[in-house]
Amino acid sequence: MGFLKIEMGILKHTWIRKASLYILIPSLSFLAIFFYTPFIIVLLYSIGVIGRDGVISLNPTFNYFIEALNPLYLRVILNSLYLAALTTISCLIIAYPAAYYIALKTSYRLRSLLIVAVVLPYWISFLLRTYALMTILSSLNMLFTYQAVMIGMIYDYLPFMILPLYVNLEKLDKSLLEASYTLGASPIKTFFKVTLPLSIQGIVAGCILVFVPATGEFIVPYMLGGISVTTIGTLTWDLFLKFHNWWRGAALSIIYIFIVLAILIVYVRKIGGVEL
Amino acid sequence: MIYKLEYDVELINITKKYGNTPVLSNISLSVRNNEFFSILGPSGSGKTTILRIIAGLVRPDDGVVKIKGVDVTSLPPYRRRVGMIFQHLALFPHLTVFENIAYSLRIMKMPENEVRGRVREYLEIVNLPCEVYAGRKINQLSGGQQQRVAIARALVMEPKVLLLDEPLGSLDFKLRQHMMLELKKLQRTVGTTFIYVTHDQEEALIMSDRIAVLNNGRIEQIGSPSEIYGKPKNRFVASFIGEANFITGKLIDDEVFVSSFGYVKIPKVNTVLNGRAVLSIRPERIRVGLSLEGLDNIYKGEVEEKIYTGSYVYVKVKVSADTCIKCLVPVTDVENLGLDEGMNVAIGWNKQDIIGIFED
Repeated sequence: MGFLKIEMGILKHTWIRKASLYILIPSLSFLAIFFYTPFIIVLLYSIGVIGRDGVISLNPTFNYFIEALNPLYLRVILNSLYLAALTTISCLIIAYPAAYYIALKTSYRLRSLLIVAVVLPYWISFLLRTYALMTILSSLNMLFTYQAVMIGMIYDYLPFMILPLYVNLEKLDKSLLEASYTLGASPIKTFFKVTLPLSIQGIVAGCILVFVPATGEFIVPYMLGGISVTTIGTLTWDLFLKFHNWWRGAALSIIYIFIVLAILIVYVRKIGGVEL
Repeated sequence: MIYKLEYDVELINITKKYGNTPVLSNISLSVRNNEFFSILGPSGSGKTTILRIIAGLVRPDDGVVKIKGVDVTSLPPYRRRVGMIFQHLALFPHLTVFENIAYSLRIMKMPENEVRGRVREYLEIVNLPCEVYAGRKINQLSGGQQQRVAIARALVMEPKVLLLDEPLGSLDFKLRQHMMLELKKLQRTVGTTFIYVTHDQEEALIMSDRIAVLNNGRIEQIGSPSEIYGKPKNRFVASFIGEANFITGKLIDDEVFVSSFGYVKIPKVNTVLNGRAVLSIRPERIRVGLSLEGLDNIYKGEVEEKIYTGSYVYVKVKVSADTCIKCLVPVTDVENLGLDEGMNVAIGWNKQDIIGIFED
């Protein structure tokens, strides 16, 4: 968003700045109606302001948060974070060589073909693909295991890692690699001293794109993990739709949002200098 | 017998094709020790490819590359110890000035305190005080400062030869003039052989000890700047470097040339070129006056056009229906003579002013 800052600087003293606020109206009003309003409703549920049968009571309570922070749920939260982290790291390890190859080692024609191949599965509905995976995994006798969930997660999130990495590596100035060679660095050393550090923004972007939705994922663990894997996603689903305990479910969702937010902030700070 | 190594870089019969397009055809050249050697040619002449072949970034299809007498044709770039300044410098944007320069030394695993000393030394050689610049990021430097960092980064590993690929191209006029002289001085100070690629004849003439003129993947001439400028081997060299008049005509004798505006006395040519030929003369060699005498060749003409360039004026003199001769006249002479378009003048030159007679 660095460029946005600059743009705003230019716009500061001109009429364009005013006009630019108007173009935000459609997206802001959409978000207000369909994102912030439900979010506030969830918040109101979590503190008990909205009670049974939609009765409004003006006695907010933190009981639902205290309920949601029981050791069992905390273990589920940790499990989800662990699963998401494992998915993210696996995707990174698998995606980096693929993105590197597509971006730096292919002809222009082959490159666009391979990128299409990466996004091709997304032309089919997510649910359908997960069902397809179920068939394969059950014929391998792997269905309803942790491995099955991992395979499903990696399969679903891999393109979200490949694409930002590809975009980043594709921009890499190849003369930097050549400069490194002439300075005595072998291709392997060049990779660790030039290519990898310069692709850190792509890595950060890819990891966020995979990690954040992966923590909340519930379809894959539900369908491929069955009862063997419980994540924050499946737990919230159950609290709302099986146990009809919307208040505890809402509190759990809010806790989840803040945990993910905290992790992201720490992550971005640690990497340092990365603008988002 | 002690074998004295005379050449730092030798290219022997280098040939390179990209697909079916020949880029270099049978190039041979030798660069002497501690020489400032330029490869000058128009864009697409293959000059950058030569540099990349010396660096090892491009493998020639045929031929041998020797550096300090050793055949390096099959060595990868990271085993050649050849410094290179890239056209857009290729400084590492994620590293500071210090880290950029220390890059090669750290690859060599030089002890860190030695690295610090060397980086400081080379920053000073390129006139960047270490205290001020060492910690800066590349994007906090001006174009000229980046240039200096790139030079320091390449020189700090004490390369066997330094290759420069049009490094001054992106600088503005004044800074370029300044950097040219500084590069020349730097080359003298460090005593490293420089091979400098450019399409800018001025850069080549000012800095080089010797120049190779390249055209269409072939070497047209190798020589000192004054040889290249004063005794071009062929029409291409004469036209590519500096301004020149080309007068078409016929050789009727080994000392007489006949043109559309009359006979021209020429220095004795060894080989009598039968039939059509082109005579070449530099504009600054032609004298212009209201009347002239005491010159080998004098003609009458009419001033057709004046082009003002500052301290000199290009005066185009029409000497026959289809021939105009371009003369370079100091502004003071133009004023003294009152030269103006439509005026009748005399132009003339001595036969040794002619820089060459080429095949048509």
